[in-house]
Amino acid sequence: MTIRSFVATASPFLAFAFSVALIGCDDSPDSGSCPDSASAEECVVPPDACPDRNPLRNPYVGELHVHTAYSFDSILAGVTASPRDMYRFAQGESLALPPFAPGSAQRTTQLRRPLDFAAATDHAEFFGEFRVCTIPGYDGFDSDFCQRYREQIEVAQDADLLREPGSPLPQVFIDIALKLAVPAPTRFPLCGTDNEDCIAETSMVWEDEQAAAEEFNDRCAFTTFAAYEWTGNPGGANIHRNVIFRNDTVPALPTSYIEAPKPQQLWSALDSECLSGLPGCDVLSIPHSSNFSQGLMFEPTNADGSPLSKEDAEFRAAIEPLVEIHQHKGNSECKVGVLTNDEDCGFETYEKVGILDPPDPGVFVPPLSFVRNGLKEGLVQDEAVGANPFEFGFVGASDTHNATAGATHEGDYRNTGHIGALDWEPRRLLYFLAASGMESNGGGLAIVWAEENSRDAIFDAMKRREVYATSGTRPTLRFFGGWNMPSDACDSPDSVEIADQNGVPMGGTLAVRLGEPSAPRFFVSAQQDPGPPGEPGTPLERIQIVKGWVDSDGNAQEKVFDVAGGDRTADVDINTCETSGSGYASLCTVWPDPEFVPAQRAFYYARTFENPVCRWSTMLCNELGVDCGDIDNVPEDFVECCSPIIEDQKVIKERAWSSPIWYRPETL
Amino acid sequence: MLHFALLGLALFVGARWFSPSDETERARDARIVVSQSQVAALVSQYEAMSAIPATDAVRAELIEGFVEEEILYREAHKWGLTSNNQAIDLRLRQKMAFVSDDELSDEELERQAKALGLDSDDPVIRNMLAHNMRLLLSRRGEQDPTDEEVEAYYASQRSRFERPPRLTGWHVFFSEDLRQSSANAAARVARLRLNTEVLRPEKAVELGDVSPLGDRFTGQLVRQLASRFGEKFAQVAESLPEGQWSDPVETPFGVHLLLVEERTPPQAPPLAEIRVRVVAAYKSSERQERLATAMKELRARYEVVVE
Repeated sequence: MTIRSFVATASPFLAFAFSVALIGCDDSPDSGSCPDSASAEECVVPPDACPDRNPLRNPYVGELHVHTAYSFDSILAGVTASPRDMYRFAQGESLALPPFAPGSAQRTTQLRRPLDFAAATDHAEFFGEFRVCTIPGYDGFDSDFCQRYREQIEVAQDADLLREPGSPLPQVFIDIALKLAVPAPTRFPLCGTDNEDCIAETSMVWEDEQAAAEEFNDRCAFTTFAAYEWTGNPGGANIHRNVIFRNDTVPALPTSYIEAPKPQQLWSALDSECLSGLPGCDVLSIPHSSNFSQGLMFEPTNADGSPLSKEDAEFRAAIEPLVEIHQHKGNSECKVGVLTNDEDCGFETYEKVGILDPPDPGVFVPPLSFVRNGLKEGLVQDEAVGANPFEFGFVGASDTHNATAGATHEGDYRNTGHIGALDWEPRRLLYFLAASGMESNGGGLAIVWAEENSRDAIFDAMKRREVYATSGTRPTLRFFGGWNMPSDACDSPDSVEIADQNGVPMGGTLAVRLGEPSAPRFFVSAQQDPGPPGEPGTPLERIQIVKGWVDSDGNAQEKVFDVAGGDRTADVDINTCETSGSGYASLCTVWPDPEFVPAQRAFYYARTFENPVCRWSTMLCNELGVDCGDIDNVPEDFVECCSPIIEDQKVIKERAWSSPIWYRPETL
Repeated sequence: MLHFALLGLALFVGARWFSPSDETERARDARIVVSQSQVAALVSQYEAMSAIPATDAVRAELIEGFVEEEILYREAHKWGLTSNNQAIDLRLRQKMAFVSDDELSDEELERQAKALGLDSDDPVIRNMLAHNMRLLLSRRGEQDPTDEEVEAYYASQRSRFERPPRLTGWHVFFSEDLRQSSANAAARVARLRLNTEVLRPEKAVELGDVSPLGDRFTGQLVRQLASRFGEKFAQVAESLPEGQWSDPVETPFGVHLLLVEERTPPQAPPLAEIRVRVVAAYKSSERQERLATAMKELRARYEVVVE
């Protein structure tokens, strides 16, 4: 045990005596209207425009899925970093990662490029329980569960005490996972009379999350959001949501899986406690990791299984305008063989059906586990009830449990991992990837097209879905659709202005065009990531447009169109990871849909690929000198390098996905 | 992390919030003896780590540091930080289990460990207690600052809260996709022309190709330019004198000539905009000061003898 381990033990303690009381008129420049009781001088006038304010929007890079020591699975993995440490890291400061003992295990990490925005999304489940477990004096402190909980925190911080990869998970992990996997979850029996202890402690964690976000929100330069994760896994189906608030007007307590074991209950709590119940409060819920939701993420039903009405569909689309399409536990866009034969759907797949299932390469996953199929189902629903419940824009995120917001760099991931001490050294990282199927890659980023870097501007952009996802790099991607998009728009110095004037941006909807029939035309422009300091970025390979529609028989269809690039060749040597060939620094085109049928509702999204590079696992296994052709001589610690999950994915193409543009054959 | 732990400590100490005022106890503990062997150990540790021989000044500093830790360790006992500290108990159980062959209960392990004095010479426990004592001293009597205090603090610390420079300007772009290897030569020609001919930037950009990222940038942070155009472009923009065209700058997109029209100086925002951050910084600085004052007072109460 070290000092640091003690700090971790103490870290969830948070005295109410010291919590900053934010009362009275809210002085955040981004805040909404002032309360009636406030006098004029108490309230701040709307802030000046930011210096980089741009009516055509700037791209801001960030992410909205980061865990800190307030998440049970972070602290049980030895992570001690607070939300404040996370925000510092996101702005470019370095951070120490567990294990912290012995001395030889100590490591720190730092972003190569700071972020423009971030939010801590700690698991809201058992916020209170875990604090009760660390504060002597509470009756629950001495419970068996708390003793095991504290013990695991100690173990996870010391490399000498860590269990070997492959040994059974600590019981305390299993206890928590099981709680989150039952359909009617209950609290741990350590919360005192009427759960008072746990509820009181929950509010302290939530207040500290808010206070950290307030302290680090730096208008025009770095934006933070109060947020948490709702962590439901009924029957092992991952139907997690991140809940992101617009500003500091938020409900008194988070709504977790315990209070609201169905997503519909979460939304209705967010509605009553925020949207319609608390003036100035605004919120959105972002589903993620649908890839192991057992097909439940995009089920078009209400909580009781009844079909959605128009109102249900509209409500759902309003509260969930975005979906996380890529993160460290795999890609959720699509999977080959699951209602698609798109060969680019084999990217960072996470080979299991539900969160508790063992990895099973090639396993059939229910179609509604994937975003593209969800979008298609949305069209079918729109056809049936007159509103689309699944009108999702796309974000990417890391889901790091190291508090390392934005740590998606392919090369860095092989050194740092994302889950504290559990994946801290190569053999553990490899085990996590291949044998346990716990995570698979460094995750992605969200890039928002907003007028300026402020809470309102970014939140508004997210609500109108003018945002795109990347698999971790930073290509620039713009996408507009309109009826009169000039075919030479790409050649003009004012191309974006022209596209903006003649169409709707990504996330928007085209209504039916009255008068002469013609196809919608899409302006799509992508520029390569120039790369972090000292490291060249990878050129682009091509741009595609993915179209989904409902045919005249009412069946959803999809097709992928190559629209720009794709005729230069590039390769990567999987032994040296050296790249060769050429690609494009920039691609742009105006693409009219050649198969447009005015009566068929449709969505279109742009996807751009970078040239191929080595996956992190290839870099790592090369470095370790593993030769899978000579399997008998591969050290046992590194045999996972030769597992199918790693062997089949030596090379990746980093990519970006624009939010879709929808076409509705109805008037607006 | 520190902040986090600080907050926790208040609860941790909880009901044992008493001030050690027992005169006899103070008298007994008021002398700290530093033996020559301890000094030698400190010096050799320092020399091993720094690979430099310790000067007299360094030696004195090392002794002072040792004394400070010892004071904190002793004060932690007086403040009751040792009792019911589950982190210490766990450490003791682990140590005792290591040296004992018997299967003992947790309570028995702790009791025997204390009887053997395993707690008093354990560097980890000593560090932990000293650390916790620092947290406690820095937090004692803390109150939310008044408006006047926050304002005064901000006035004295404005430079810390300054916002980084923002850049507004143009770039003439020569596309590598269009011109391949001749992009650089074209940029040099254009640069020469800009030497001799005064062109408004709107006209100058027409010497080059259409830039897919636009030919003008407004109010950008250096980091924003780096994210879209690359590090090299951003660095040139950061250091380029205003109103002067740069030499050709290569990026993955091609070659650029940059002009920075305006560079806003670093500026501290109005307090109202960043009050929350200022209060957090104020509290942290107050804590450091409180700790320094408390340490000074404590130090004065101890007699130090170097044998």
